Amino acid sequence: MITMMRLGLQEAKMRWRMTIMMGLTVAASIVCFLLLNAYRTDLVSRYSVLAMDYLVVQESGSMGEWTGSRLPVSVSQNLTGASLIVPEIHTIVGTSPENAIMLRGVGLDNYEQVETYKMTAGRALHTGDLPRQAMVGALLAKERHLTLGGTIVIRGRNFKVVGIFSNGTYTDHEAWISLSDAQALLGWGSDVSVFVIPAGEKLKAGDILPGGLSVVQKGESGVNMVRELSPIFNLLGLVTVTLGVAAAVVLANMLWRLAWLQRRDIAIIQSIGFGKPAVAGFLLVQGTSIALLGFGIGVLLAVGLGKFTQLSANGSSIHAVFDTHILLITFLYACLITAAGSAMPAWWLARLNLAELLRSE
Amino acid sequence: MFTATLFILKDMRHDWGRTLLALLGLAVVIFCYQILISLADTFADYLAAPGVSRNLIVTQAEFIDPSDASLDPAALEAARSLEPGLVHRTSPVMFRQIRIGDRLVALRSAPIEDWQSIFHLTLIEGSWPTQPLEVVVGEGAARANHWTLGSILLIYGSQFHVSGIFRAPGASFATVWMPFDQALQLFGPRRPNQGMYVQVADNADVEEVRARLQADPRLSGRYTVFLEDNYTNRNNQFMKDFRSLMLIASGLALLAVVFGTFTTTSLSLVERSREIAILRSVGFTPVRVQEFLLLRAILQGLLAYLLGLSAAWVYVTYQQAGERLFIEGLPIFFQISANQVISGAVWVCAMAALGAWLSSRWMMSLQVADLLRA
Repeated sequence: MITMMRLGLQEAKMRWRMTIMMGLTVAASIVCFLLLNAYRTDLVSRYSVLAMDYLVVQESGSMGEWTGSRLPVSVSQNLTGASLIVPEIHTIVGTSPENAIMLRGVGLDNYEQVETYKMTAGRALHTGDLPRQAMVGALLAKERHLTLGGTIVIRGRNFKVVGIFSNGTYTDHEAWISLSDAQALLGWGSDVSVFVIPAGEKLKAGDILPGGLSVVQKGESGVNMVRELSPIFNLLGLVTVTLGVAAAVVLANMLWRLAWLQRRDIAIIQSIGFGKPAVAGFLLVQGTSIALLGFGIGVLLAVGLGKFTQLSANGSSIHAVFDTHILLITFLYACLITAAGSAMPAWWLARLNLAELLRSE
Repeated sequence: MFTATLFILKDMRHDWGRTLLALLGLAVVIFCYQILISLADTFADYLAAPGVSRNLIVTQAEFIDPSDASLDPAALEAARSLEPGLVHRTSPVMFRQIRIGDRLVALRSAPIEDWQSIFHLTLIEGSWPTQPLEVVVGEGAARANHWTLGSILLIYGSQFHVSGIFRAPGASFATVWMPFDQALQLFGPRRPNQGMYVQVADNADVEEVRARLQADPRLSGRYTVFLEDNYTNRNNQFMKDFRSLMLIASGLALLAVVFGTFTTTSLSLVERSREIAILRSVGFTPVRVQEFLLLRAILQGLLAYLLGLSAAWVYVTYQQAGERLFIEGLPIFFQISANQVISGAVWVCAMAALGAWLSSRWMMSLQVADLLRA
C-alpha cells in the first residue's frame, strides 16, 4: 500500500502543471465555501442572540433595539407587574453610512442589570458621571481608532471615551452614552426607544399593549435580521457546494484519465500481488495531494479576501471570522471533494478485467 | 473552419465518456457563475441611480434611519414660503420601517393628492384608498409577499386592506403607502412627519433651491436637504458590499473554467501525443494544431455554457417561485438577462481558450520525434 501511495505521489509530482491547476480548481471552491461560512459565522454569532431573561417593549413591528421605535416615558407607568423597567434609546446617527454610529442611551442607574459585557479597557459608565462621556464597543473602537481618554464625535458633539467594552454581539459596534445625554443630543425630550423588562413576569413576549406597543424577546431585532438574510446565504451556500461538486467532477475526470493512461502498469502491479485497495490508495493519494494543495491556497486566499472585505450596514458590519470550527468544516469539505473525486475512478478501475488490462497497449 | 468544427464535434462524440465528464465539470462551474453574476447584476440594477429627479428630500440631520427623525412645522413652512416661484409643491412624509407578518417593510405616508405628482406612484391595479383602513402596496412588495387586492395586512395592530397595487421608481416599488390622515390616526399626532419632499418648480434650478433651503435659518444645522437621486442610494452600502462579494466569487468561477480547461486539454495532449505527432508530420504547423485545440476548447466551453445556463435558468425560475430573497427589506428579483447570456458566453469562451492556450504552449516547442516519444 505504502509503495502504491508513493507511486501516486510521484505521479502527481511528475504531472506538476496539472496538479497545480487542479489544486487551483479546488482552491476556487474552497475560497467561496470558506468565505461564505466565515461571514455566516459572524452573522449568526453576533446578531442571532436572544436574551431569554429579558423582554423589550417597543413600537409594534419596529426593530426597536436598533432603530425605528420612539415611546413617551409615560409608557413605563403602564408596564404594571414588571419588577424592573430599564429605558433605553437606540438609534443610528451620522451624516452618511460611512460615519454612521449605532447609538445607545442607557439609564446609568440600572443598565448594567440587563446587559452583560466585559470591559476591555477603562471603566463602565456609572451614576454620577459627568455629561458627555461614552463607552464604546470594541469593534467600533477598532474601526474608528478610538482609545481610552480620546473623543468620539456623536451628532457633532465630542464625547470622552471612558471605557471600551465587548460582549461578542453586534453591540460591539455601539457607542453607549447616558440616557439624558442621548435625549438632549437627539432632541427627544423625555422620549425613549424601548423599555427592557424581566421575562417570566406578568408581560410575555407577543403581548400587544395599547398605543401600538408590543412586547418582544430581547435580541429579536437581530434574530429577525438573520432570518431575513438566511435565504440569500442559503442560496450562496448552494452555489459553494455546487462549486465543490464541480471540483470533484474535474478531479474525477483527471484521475480517471491518468489511471487510464497507466492501465497497463496498474494491471502489472495488480498481477504481482498488489490488491485493489492498493490501487485505490494510488488514486486517493493523488487526489489528497491535490485537495491539500487546493485547501492551502484556498485558505490563504479566503483569509486575505476576508481581511479586505466586509458587509457594512449603517453603523454595523459583518466580518469574515475564521475560527477553528469553520476551518475544520472547510477541511472536511476538501476531504469530501477528494473522496468523491477519487472514488469514481477507483470504482471504475476495480471493475476492469485484469487480463484485458494486461493486453492493452 | 467548418470542417474543423465538424471534426471536433465528431471527435467529441466518439470520445463521449471523457467529453461528458469534461462538459459536466465545466457546466457546473458555469451554473455557479451564472447565478452569481445574475445576483450581482440585480444588485447593480437596485444601486443604479434613478432618472434625474426634481425633488428634494428634507430630513433631520444626522439620522441615518429617517423613521427616528421628526420635522418641525417651521421647516415645512420654510419650504412652503418658496412656493410658487421656486417650489411647485411641498409634501410632509411619514417614514416607518415596520414588520408586516415576518417581513420588514418600508411604510410611507403622505397626503394622497401628492402620491402621483410628487412621488410618481402609478396605479396598476385596484384603486387608491377611499375608505378607512385601506393601503396601497408597491408591485415589488406585492409580488414578494404574495399580496393581492383585498389582502389583509396587520399594521401596528390594525387590519388594513390592500386597495391597489402601484408601480414606482427605485426602492419605492417595495413600499406600502397609507393616506396621511389614516397614519396620523394609527401612529398618533406626537411625531407626524419624519421629513418632507419638495418638488422644485419647472423653471427653477434644483441645486440652487437646495442650497437656499439648506441655508434657511429654520433648517440650517438641524435638517439636511438632499437631492432625491442622491438620498435614494445613500443607505445601500450593504448591497454594494454584497455585490462586490458576488463579483469576486463569479470571477473565481470564471478562473475555475480556465483551470478546468487547462486540465482537460493537458490530458488530451498527453493521451493523444501520437496523433498530434502524425498531424505535425503530414504538414500541420504547431500553430495550426494549437488553433485546433483552442477551437476544441471554445466549442467545449460553449456546449458547457449551454448546459450550465439551462440549469441556472431552471434554478432561477424555481427559486423565484419559492422562497424570496430579501436584503434590508428589499425583495430581490433576480433573473437571467440577454446581456448576461451574451457576456457570459464571451467570457466562458475566452477563459476556455486561455486554459487551452496555457496548456498547449509547451507543445509548440516540441519536435515530432519528441511527441512520438512522449
